[in-house]
Amino acid sequence: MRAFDYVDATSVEDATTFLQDEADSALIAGGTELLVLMKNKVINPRLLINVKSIDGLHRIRADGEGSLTIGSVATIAELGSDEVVQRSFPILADAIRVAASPQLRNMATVGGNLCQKPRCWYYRGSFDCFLKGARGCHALNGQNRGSGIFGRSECYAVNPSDLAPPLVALGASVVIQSPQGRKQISLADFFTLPRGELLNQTILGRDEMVVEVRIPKQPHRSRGVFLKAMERKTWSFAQASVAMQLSRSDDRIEDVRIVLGAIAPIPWRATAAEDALRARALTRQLIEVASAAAVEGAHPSGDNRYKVTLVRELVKRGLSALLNT
Amino acid sequence: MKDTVRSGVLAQRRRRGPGKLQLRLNVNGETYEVMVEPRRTLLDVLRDDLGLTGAKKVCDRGQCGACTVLLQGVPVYSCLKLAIECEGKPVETVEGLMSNGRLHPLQQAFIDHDAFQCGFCTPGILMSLKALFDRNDSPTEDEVRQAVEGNLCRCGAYSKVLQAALSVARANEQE
Ligand SMILES: Cc1cc2nc3c(=O)[nH]c(=O)nc-3n(C[C@H](O)[C@H](O)[C@H](O)COP(=O)(O)OP(=O)(O)OC[C@H]3O[C@@H](n4cnc5c(N)ncnc54)[C@H](O)[C@@H]3O)c2cc1C
Ligand code: FES
Ligand code: FES
Repeated sequence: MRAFDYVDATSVEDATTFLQDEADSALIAGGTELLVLMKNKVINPRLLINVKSIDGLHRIRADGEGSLTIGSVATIAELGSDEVVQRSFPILADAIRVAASPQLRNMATVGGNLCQKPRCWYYRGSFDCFLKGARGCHALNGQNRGSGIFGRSECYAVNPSDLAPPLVALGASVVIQSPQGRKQISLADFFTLPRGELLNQTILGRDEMVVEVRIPKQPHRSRGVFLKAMERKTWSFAQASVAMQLSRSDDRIEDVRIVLGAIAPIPWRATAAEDALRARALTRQLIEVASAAAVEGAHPSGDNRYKVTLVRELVKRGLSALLNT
Repeated sequence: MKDTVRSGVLAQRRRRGPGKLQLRLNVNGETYEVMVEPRRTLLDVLRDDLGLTGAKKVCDRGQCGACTVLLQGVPVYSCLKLAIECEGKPVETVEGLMSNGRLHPLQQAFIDHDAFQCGFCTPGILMSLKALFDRNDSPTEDEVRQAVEGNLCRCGAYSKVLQAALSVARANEQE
């Protein structure tokens, strides 16, 4: 790691002003992602701004009417053991249980998890690649076992976050602040395909920070499932994952969100599968149709073909688990 | 999340580094003063500045668990914590497990059950287990397995580790 200055932020405004004043700076929350990138010299900031020191920013608050506000420096362990999360948003608790390892969950924060960079070998190693400002993506004709099968843009690396798919499936939004002010956007719109000048998987600007994440109250009789395929049972990034949340009225599916993880540069809505399900009753036959629809338009590029099979199977198993609930 | 009024000049003065600065660390109940740069990890400071070489440096990237210590009672990878982030927060390492010249029951059980070969993973595993037993002194097999999920053992001593931990749990149950 190159040498750097360090400062404890006293408020969100303080942190974002430091970001604005020092062009070569980075926020540090859990540090589990940032310090690895710095050790590998992928990034070399001159100033680290600690946001864990901001009073109250770790708080998780239920409003009593079914919604939840999560401070961005709450650890994912804290979030996973939160009673409201376990009771009202179990797909999020399920995703956290299989994310990283206990030690990492004790350190990693919600904001940091949503802002983590892709795990692509080329990006993390000493290669010039699109995300580092060079042209083209080496993974297209190179090491692409982990690459995406949807959302092809100028970079094929997938978004690795296990929290993003369930949060998008729950309709969460994020509050973002910069020295110019605060805004709230849906978490789905927070993620974006890297292209052109945008060398990132999120729309977060240089001097912006994630302040909190809000999960709205879910519809009556809403049910969900989270499933993650991994190379080993624990401490492993997803090869593919699915988070789904659906509600029914008189047995007909009303609201439905199916979000795929680790198969595109952003959490990927399986809209064709959702359309196939909406306004119908869930049956074994319909599950076959919907899981086939989930992989419509997939474009694997080589060694990542197995992800097509994984996605279809995960969607099928997820919906099957909801069949008799 | 109240934002306070902030003066640019004063704010810049709060920056510390990039050179050495004085830190006060609390490790195993003792206070240590060290002069270190902000870029030094807790693991490196423990090992190189304090001579506490129990926590091991293997991957240095959060992928093995050999560097596990407790920070405010919670297991963390000390290779991914900066020492400067730990000011004023109690750190526990394997060196602090003995008390009054006696091994911790988990340490004794590791010896009795031969729960290691090379021993490189042992300090980290012991700290993960200590955090578990501090919360729950008679955990189930599943709870033990989950507690050490973030610690790799290259020699494959897992089943002996499990036996050792469960023997302590059963002994505690009978008390
Ligand atoms: C071995 C290993 C295995 C892992 N396995 C998994 C897994 O299975 N599933 C999974 O989801 N993740 C996994 N991870 C990733 C881990 O969850 C992330 O590293 C962690 O969530 C990042 O959070 P942090 O608080 O440590 O972020 P930091 O490292 O502190 O920051 C990460 C990035 O986000 C920025 N940032 C931090 N907070 C904010 C904020 N509030 N606003 C704006 N920007 C911010 C930082 O500047 C930095 O660029 C794994 C990591 C490792 C090392
Ligand atoms: S040395 Fe820290 S996890 Fe491997
Ligand atoms: S005993 Fe050798 S690594 Fe565990």
